[in-house]
Order: sequence, then C-alpha cells, then structure tokens
Amino acid sequence: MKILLIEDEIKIAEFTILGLTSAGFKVTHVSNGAAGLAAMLEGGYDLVILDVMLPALNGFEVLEKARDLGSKIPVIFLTAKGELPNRLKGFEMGGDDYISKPFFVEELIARLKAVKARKNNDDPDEIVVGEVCLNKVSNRVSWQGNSTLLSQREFSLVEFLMRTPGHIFSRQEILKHVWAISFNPETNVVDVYIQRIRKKLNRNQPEGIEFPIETIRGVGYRFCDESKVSA
Amino acid sequence: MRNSLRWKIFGNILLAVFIIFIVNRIIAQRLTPAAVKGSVKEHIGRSVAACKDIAENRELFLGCALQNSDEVIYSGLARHYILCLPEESFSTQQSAICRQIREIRSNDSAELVSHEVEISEQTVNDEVWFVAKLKSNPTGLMIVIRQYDIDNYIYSLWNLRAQVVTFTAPFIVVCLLILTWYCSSLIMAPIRKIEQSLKKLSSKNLDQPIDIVPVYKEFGSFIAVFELLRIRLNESFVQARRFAGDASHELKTPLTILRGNAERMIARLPTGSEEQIRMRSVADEVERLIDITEKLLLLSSADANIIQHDMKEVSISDVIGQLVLDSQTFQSKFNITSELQPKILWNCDQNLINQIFYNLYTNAVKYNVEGGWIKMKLVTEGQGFMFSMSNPTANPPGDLAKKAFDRFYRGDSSRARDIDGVGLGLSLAQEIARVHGSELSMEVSAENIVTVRLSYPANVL
Repeated sequence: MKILLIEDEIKIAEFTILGLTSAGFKVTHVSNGAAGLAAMLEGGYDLVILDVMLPALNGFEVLEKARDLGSKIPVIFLTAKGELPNRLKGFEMGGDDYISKPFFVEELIARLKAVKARKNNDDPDEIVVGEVCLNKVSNRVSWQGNSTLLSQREFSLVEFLMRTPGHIFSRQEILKHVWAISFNPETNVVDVYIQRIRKKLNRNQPEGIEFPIETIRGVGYRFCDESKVSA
Repeated sequence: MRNSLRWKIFGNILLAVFIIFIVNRIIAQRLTPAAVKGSVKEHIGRSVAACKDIAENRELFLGCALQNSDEVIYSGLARHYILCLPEESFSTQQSAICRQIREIRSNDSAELVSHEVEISEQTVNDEVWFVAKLKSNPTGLMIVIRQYDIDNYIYSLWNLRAQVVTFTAPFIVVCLLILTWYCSSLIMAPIRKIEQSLKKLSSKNLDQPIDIVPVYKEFGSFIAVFELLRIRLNESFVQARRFAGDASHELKTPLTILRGNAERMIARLPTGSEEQIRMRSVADEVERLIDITEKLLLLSSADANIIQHDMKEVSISDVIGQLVLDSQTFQSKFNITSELQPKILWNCDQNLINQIFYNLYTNAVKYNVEGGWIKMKLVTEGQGFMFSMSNPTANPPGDLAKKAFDRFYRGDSSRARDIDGVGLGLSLAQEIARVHGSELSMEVSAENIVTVRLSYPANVL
C-alpha cells in the first residue's frame, strides 16, 4: 500500500516512516501543505496521512482543495489532542478518520487498514488471523473447531489484539483501548478477562494446545501469528 | 483590631478643635484684660467729655455715657463707675474715694484721650483706680473705676463663656461626627468602587480592563495605576501560562518518538527477557510523562479559559452507572455500592466529565483502607444534581480538604510515595467542573471518611 505522509515535524515524520516501512508500507513524505496538495492531485497513492498544523496550507485547506478538485483518496488526520472541534471539522471536510498526537504507530497502522478496508467496501464481518476467526456480527470466536460466544468486552479485547498480531501491548494500553480509560485504576481486570477468554476457548482442547494470546511476563500480552504449541 | 479610618479622622478633627479652643482661650485670656482696660479707659474719657453737663444726676449721666457707646460690655461695667462731682457734701464711701483721688493729684501717669480729657491710673489704699477728668477742670468732674471691678467683670464674662461652651460642646461633637462621616463617605465612595471592581478580578478575567470611570480627578491616577498593575499582571500571567502550554506542546514530539522507539524495541527484544521487561518499564514511564504533559496542557488551557469542549445532553445517571459497573469488575477487594437516581440529564462534554469521575474513583481506590468500601450517590438537587463519592481513608492530613485541589498536592508525603500519581488529577477535575458551571468540593469527616461532591449548578457565593 502506498501512503502519502504530509507532516512538517521532521522527527515525527521520520519516526512514522520508520514504523510504516517496517510494517511493509511504501511511504512518500512531503513537509508542507502546498506540496502535499500537489502530490495528492498527482495521484498514485492509496491513502494520505495529513497533519492539521502545516505551513503554507493547513491540513483542512489541503483537503478542501483536493476534494474540490475531485480527489477521493482516503485521508487520516493527525491532530493535537484536545482539539476536539478540529476533529469534528476534519470529518465535515471529508476526512475518513483522525488520530491524535502522540500516537502509536501500531494504532496508526490499524486505522490505515480499517479505513482502506472501509473505502474498498471489503470491511469483512470476520477477522481471520492464523486459525482464529472472529465474527463481528455474531460476537463469536472460532478456533480449533471450537466456537464460543464472547461478551462485548471480551470480544473487543480479542479484536484489539488481533488487529496488530505479534505486537506486545501493555495492560495499560489494553485498558486504554478496550475500556477507554486513560488512567491507572489499580486493577487486574485485563488479566481476569484474558484468563476468562483462555478458559472459554481452551475448554475441550487437548493438553498443550492453547489459544494464541500469549502472556509476556512483566511486559504485557500479544496475539501470536500462529497458534503456539507448547512443549 | 485594625483602626477605622472614620474614627481616626474624627479623633484628629476633635483633637484639632480642642487645641484651637485651648489656644484661643489662652490668647484671649492674655489679651482681653488689657484690651478691655484700654477700651474702658477710653469709654470713661469719652463719657466725661460728652456728658459733663448733666453730671449732677448720676442716672442721667450714666444713660448719656451708655448712649455714647454701642458696645454692650459697658452697660455691665457702667454700674461700677463712680461719679465724682465738684461739691461733694455727703461723706459716703464713694465720696471718700473721690476725695482721696483728688488729694493725690499725681499727673505723672496721665494720658490724653482727646484734647479735653485726660485719663490716669491712681493707687488708693493699694487699689488701682482709673480716673477720667476734663483737662481744664473747673467743675472737678471725674469718673473713676476700680481695676478690681473691671477684672471681676471680665472674670464673670469668662465664666459665662465657659458655661456656654459646656452647653454647646456635645452639639459641636455631634456635628463634627456627622461631618466626619459625610466626608469619609465622600472619600471612600470612589475607593469602594475600585475595591468592588478589583474584587471581580481573578486569573480568569485578568485580560479585561478595569471598568471604572473616576468621579473625581484626584482618583484618575489612582485607577490608572491599578490598570497598569492589572496589565503587567496579565502579561506575566499570560507568559507563565503560555510557558506551561508551550513546554507541554514541545514535549509531545520527543515523547511520541521515545515511546514509539521503546515500543519497537520491546517487540524486537527476546520475548520474556530482562531487557524486554526493563524496556517495558521505560515505555510505561514515557506514557506517564505523556499523561502529565497532557494534563498540564489541559490545565494551562483552563487557566487561559480556552478549554475546548463539545457540550451535549448526556444522561449522567448512565455515565456513573457505567463507572459503577466498570469499577465493580476492576476491584474485588473493595465493597462498591451506589445509589443513583435514574435519568438525570446534563449538558456536558462527556470526555471531560469522564475524567472527573474516573479521577475521583482512582483516588477512592488508591487512598482506601484494607478491605474498605466506596459509595457513590447521585440525586437531583434544586435545578441540578449532586454527585458524591465517599471512602474511608487512613490518617488523612488535617488540611486535606483545603489543599486537595492544589496542583501537585499528594497528601501525606510518607504515604504518597507508595502511591502512583502526580497530584494533578483533582485540580484538573476542578477546572473541568468549573468549565461546566459546577463545583467540586471535599469533606473529611471525624471518622476519616473522605467525601468528594460534584454539585451542579455551582453555589455562587
């Protein structure tokens, strides 16, 4: 997937490019609004990541002009946190999503994929990673011939980990994204939920075969690409 | 107790009046006898000259003498005049005086009042007499008066005056008091106005000019000085505010990069290795820094009155209900109970409001006691509502309720070290409450139960 990154802060750009490239994206970077608009109109990109605060033309103006000139390319805005009216404005202007700084590259990648899928109308009802299949309509997860109904939170937790397989998320990050709380509530609720999901899915499984949510001691949890078979 | 300006002015005026009165009296007492003596001499001189022809009848003569003078003082003194006639036949005491004075006949001290009358002072039997007679004195007509009588007369006049003063003094004091009150009100009125205007000044409206038109020109420069002070204060305040905002903003980029790199390293380091765990704690600390930075930024926008919000009607009962449900899954070691009145609506920014509730909840958990409890309550109150969250705590500092909303306040420092946090949450919650026209307050009971209340609308004092 070819991405156009319009961002004036060089360090943020470098860091984003590094993350996106290592995830297999091809990234072109421009550092001001006018050049960004020209590149957008030139075409050849699948998606644009557009900073709001830009020299020459700001992000909103770039998108407005691009849309006026007929460009339908999906756009994700980068905004500073707390600029809520800006976010709303971003949607009004025809942006497809926004992500606020400071952001995780993994989160950005997940958003990129989601926007792209939505645009292509191929946002599937099912997410499949390895042998695990998550059905968004029925709230069920199927693995190793075992289909289990998950509660809303359990489902969101599995979905969050499956969106970026292989990446280790800390408990705090999971709380932030699944429970939408950005503080430390001194809780072991994440562990409790992971245990509950494992218990549901490992039922009736032969000894040694475990659902691929892995605990990394002292670090967090990750969803393994392939189901892990412990010795 | 501090002095009252009114009483001070009153006291000073009273003292001044008293001093003026005393000085006036001393000067008058010194000067009056001489002046009265002078004018008595003059009067008897004039009387002799004018009334010499009717000297035979004492009553007529005195009448004539008084007609020659329009000053009341002589009418009192005139009865002490002794009229010495040439043919003194009866031997009264008065005639004896006349005879004795005639016998002395010393003209040494005589002074001329007019070309025909001369006045002299004579001492008879150790008493001083004033004598007025015609210069060419064929008839031997004289008016004499004893100095003792004049002194006595002056003394009685002083007594009369003292009496009058005694009667009028209270009235004068009351008048002075009223005058002082009136004057000080006059002076205080513009000062009061300035005071009221300054009272309205707070960190939130320092950028608005002081709205006073000076009634008197004397206060013009005074108000200008205050205005200048406000401008300088506002400038430094804006600078300080901008500094916090700018600093937080500038920290965001390096922190984002730091966190991103830490996350990448966590992914690359051998799973479960010591290094990976260390890197996780680095990333957690960076996350904490980002959290502090965001809070500081929000606080500095609150100071600048520019917190951006998106107000919508929200069921506050549902928001708190969700918090109760979440908290019950988060914590099994505390007994969490709630008493929520349903369907209470509030026009608020749900993102911001959540920060208040979650912050209160986190504090209730962090500072709870072993096997403790948390109680949440939501009721309608007047036109609005009142939400409260209570929990027991161990050894709260005495000034907790007063200081809890201060920035970076962490309670008992020995205990706070073991508890995660920076002490910005409550002050931020208070700012958010203020943006929503509500008020956050804390109360610590004698049983060490901490209750934080969010009331809407705020009780404006």
